Amino acid sequence: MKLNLTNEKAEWREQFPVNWPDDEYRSRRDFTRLLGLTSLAFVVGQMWIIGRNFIHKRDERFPVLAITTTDDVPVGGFKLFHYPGQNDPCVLVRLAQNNWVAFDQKCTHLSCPVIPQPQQRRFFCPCHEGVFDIATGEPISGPPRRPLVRITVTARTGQIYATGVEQGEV
Amino acid sequence: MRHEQRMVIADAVLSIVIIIVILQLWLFTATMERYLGGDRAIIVPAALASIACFALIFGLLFFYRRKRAR
Repeated sequence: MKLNLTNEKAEWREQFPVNWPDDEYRSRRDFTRLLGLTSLAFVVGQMWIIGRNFIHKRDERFPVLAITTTDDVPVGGFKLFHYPGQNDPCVLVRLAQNNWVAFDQKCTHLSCPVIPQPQQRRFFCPCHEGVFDIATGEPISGPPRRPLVRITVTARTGQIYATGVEQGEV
Repeated sequence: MRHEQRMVIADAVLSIVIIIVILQLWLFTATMERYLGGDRAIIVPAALASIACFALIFGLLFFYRRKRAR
């Protein structure tokens, strides 16, 4: 026996009043609305990142830290230090008599510590063989795509000071 | 409008919305990854792109609602 699905007055309708095509249509419509709300949630998430950045920027004050004296590090030498916190390893390199650079020691690929190699004018990450330019921190080869985070340094009265962290200028 | 026609439009809108939401998910994770990596220059353009995606979805749903009302 063939059922007539479009007959609203059929006897079986009374026992089973669900209209499947209409139900399917409504479930699709509701799912689309749910996706619309998900989209709104992503916008809220992006706004949260901006808000977090704004608050962080407002409260951001870096300490001034004396790293070393100019006599302690020869030209082509380097010194490890921690800045701005004790869990932030950094490296100071003396490129020339009056040319000092400092970078966060964490590789921008997977945060392995990079090794300064001043003779080859590079920082080398042994984990995945990433290479960065020693003067600019820009990635040269390997998996890293972002430059090392630069620490601003100044030389005053025979001392080298770390004064801040440069971020977001990629 | 016939039921089959409504279903076709609903399916088309749903497909486009799914693609846009996946794009937004990618945008959000990429922005978060860059932000936590110290790159703050990307967050405002990413937020604007996300708002544009939401506006597109809103526009599609609005268009669909009007079609359905006819």
